[in-house]
Amino acid sequence: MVQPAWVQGRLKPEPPFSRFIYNTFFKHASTYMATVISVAFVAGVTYDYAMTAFWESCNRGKLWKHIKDKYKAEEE
Amino acid sequence: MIRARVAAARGAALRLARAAQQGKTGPVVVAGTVVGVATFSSVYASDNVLAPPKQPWDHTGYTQAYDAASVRRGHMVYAQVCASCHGLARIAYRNMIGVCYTEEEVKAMAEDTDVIDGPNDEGEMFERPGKLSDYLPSPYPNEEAARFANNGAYPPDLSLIVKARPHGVDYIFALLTGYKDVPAGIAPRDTQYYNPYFPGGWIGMPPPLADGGVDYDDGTEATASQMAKDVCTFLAWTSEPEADERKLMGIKWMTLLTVMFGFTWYYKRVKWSVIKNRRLELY
Ligand code: HEC
Repeated sequence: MVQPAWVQGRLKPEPPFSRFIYNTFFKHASTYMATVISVAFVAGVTYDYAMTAFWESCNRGKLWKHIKDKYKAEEE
Repeated sequence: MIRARVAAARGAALRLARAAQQGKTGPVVVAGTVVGVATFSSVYASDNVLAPPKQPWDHTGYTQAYDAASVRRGHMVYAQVCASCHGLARIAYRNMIGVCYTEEEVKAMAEDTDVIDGPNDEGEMFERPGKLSDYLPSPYPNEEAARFANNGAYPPDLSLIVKARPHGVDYIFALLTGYKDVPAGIAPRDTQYYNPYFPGGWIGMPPPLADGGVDYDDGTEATASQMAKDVCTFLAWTSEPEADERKLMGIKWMTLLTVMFGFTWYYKRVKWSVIKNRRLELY
């Protein structure tokens, strides 16, 4: 019997990578929650870090942290 | 005639509706821009004042922080020149730590001032050296004293002056550098100075800045326009000390929200695809 196209699409074997992702992270509520929380944490810290680096590169030489050593050196 | 007009109006409305349907926002954006520009950049002939020119500040712009070196020099200008007439009551010494001075520098600065505190155990007010949590001292005890010392003109507190004047820093800069000789045909005044950037043209503040009026500690040459630029940057900071943090937050949030918008858009397309592909057959 010829299946409709959308059923044929479903019947393709699942790629091993997405099967791995599904089984490891999504299958159980426990691993799913652990994934959500740890990804949120890591992504949050990384994003903050990246954006602050961007901000500092936009303002190189203008922020106090870039120039404060100049004044210390002059005092000594 | 009337028919033609009705038809034209209907045509325009239809075109607009069609444009909206096709997601064309061009006309709306153009109209909004015109209204916005007309509203926020008005110049009135009745102002009797010169509009200050725009200056290329290095702290304006969505990603631009204050130039800390300039803020520091600006504080020196304030402390050595303006502080004899103007207060800066909303800034405490501690606010400047890590912005343009080190903690030790600010501590030394605060200790140089005498602050009236109290009452002590015997109910007496007493003087003590300033500390980090003190606010900058004002030169006059009250407005009457300030007016009395300045021929009746009141030198306003400068903490929020950049926010409190149209054109902000551009205006302060123009004011400080804009003193002119009295034009021919106008009688000079004794206690007021001619400055076309001040509404009315006569200001009670004597020209505060002259070349070399301040000792900078970083070797910058203290020309009048340099000092004006620095003190304006400093006053911009006192008006909005949170601006740097706010801009960084803005970058973070706007970027994230843009990404999230992409996800939302995609999600909507996925969920609606079923509905949009449905064929309605009406009999
Ligand atoms: C000799 C005292 C004196 C000094 C020094 C002085 N000012 Fe003034 N300033 C005044 C007086 C008086 C006024 C009020 C003028 C008026 O209302 O006519 C004033 C007004 C102002 C205004 C408000 C103008 C407005 O639009 O209302 C600003 C801004 C200002 N001064 C900035 C400064 C800065 C910055 C410095 C330091 C570079 C400074 N002043 C130094 C006396 C002084």
